[in-house]
Amino acid sequence: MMKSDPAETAAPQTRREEQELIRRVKRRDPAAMRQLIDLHKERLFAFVWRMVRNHHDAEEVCQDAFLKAFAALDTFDPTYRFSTWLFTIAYRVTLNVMRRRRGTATDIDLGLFADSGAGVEEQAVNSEEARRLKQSVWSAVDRLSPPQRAAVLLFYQQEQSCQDIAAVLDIPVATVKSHLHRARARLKEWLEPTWAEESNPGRIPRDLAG
Amino acid sequence: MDCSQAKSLFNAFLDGELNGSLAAEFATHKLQCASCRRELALLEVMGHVLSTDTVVPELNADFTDRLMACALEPARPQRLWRRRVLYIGGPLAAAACVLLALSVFRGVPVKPETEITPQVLPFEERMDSPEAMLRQVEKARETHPESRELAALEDALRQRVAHIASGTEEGTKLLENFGKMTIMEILDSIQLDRPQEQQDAQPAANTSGVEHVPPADSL
Repeated sequence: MMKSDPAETAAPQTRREEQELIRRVKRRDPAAMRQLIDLHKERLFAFVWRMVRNHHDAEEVCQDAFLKAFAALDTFDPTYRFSTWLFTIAYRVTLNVMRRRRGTATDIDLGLFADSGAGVEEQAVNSEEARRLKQSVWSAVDRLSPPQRAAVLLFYQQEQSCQDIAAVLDIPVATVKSHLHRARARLKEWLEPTWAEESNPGRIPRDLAG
Repeated sequence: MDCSQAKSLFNAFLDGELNGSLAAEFATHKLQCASCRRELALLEVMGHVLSTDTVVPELNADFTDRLMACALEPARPQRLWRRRVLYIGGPLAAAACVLLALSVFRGVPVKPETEITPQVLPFEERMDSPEAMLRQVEKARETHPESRELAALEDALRQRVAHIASGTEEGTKLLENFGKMTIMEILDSIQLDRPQEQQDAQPAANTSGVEHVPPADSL
């Protein structure tokens, strides 16, 4: 499966440009709707996919989130970024999907664990050690509770502040920090024995050192 | 600074919130203590992987087109349920057409997926109990035995009946809600595990720094 880096496709947009775009979307301007979708879909999908680990579910959540956002755009508070609001909606839909899926066979895109982060070129420059390290980290992240996983993904992957994460998850900032800190403790607890067996975890593999 | 003091500052350090003389003391301890250095390095490597490994599968190329088609279609009261049927139904319908065309040549009878409409289930009727709803679905299945959506719905309802029969608090709540809900609302609640789709779109409000301890089962 082909892969993309959402960080490369996200376009910067000023607050004023965003508000103008939203005004046009409220008038049901198809070009503006399309532009708004294209501006946010990659980042949103990256977050949702990391949460549900299933391509079809992730696309369906993103579609639902956009449709709910369009339908309720009149209630959008422009003091927030549109992306924060959209992520809030998507997070709630994600939780519903995960709840619905609970008790059924987990349908995870396992193929993507095996070569996480690997187009052919990228794989060539990734050492086996770095690949195993990434795989162990993501497998551990998948074991976190949904709020902890969301906090970790928004903090590290989406580079959001604790304040923004609080808005997305609709919880106080202190709770975001609590989720983050507990998540770190759990990840450390799970990863430490694996890493101790394989290598010296104090050393970052060359390919991960940036 | 000793190790326990240093460890209590790991999160503040990783969150970028350590500064002033405390940061200097922490840095000094880190230089002197191999154990803390190692533990912190593990957390930093973990953060590094999480920050830099941003590659995910690609969205389908027609995602925006499909979304635009849904967004611009006229709103219907049963929009969410219908949309799900349309979303899954589009590819299924296409596949069904191909199979039907093939069956003409091969003589294999193939039935397409039944779309759940008010003719199949009386959407606006209120159901007093899951059993009553289950009877409606069973009736619908008699005339549309090929429908996978109805089969899934029947399964979901049977699970709820079992849940209510178990007499848990959640089961009692489910039972109370059933008396007030139409078939459409029950369908939505089964699809989403809660009926009010609007609730998802409420802007986030509670972002203050007030301490709130999350429930234990969410941690």
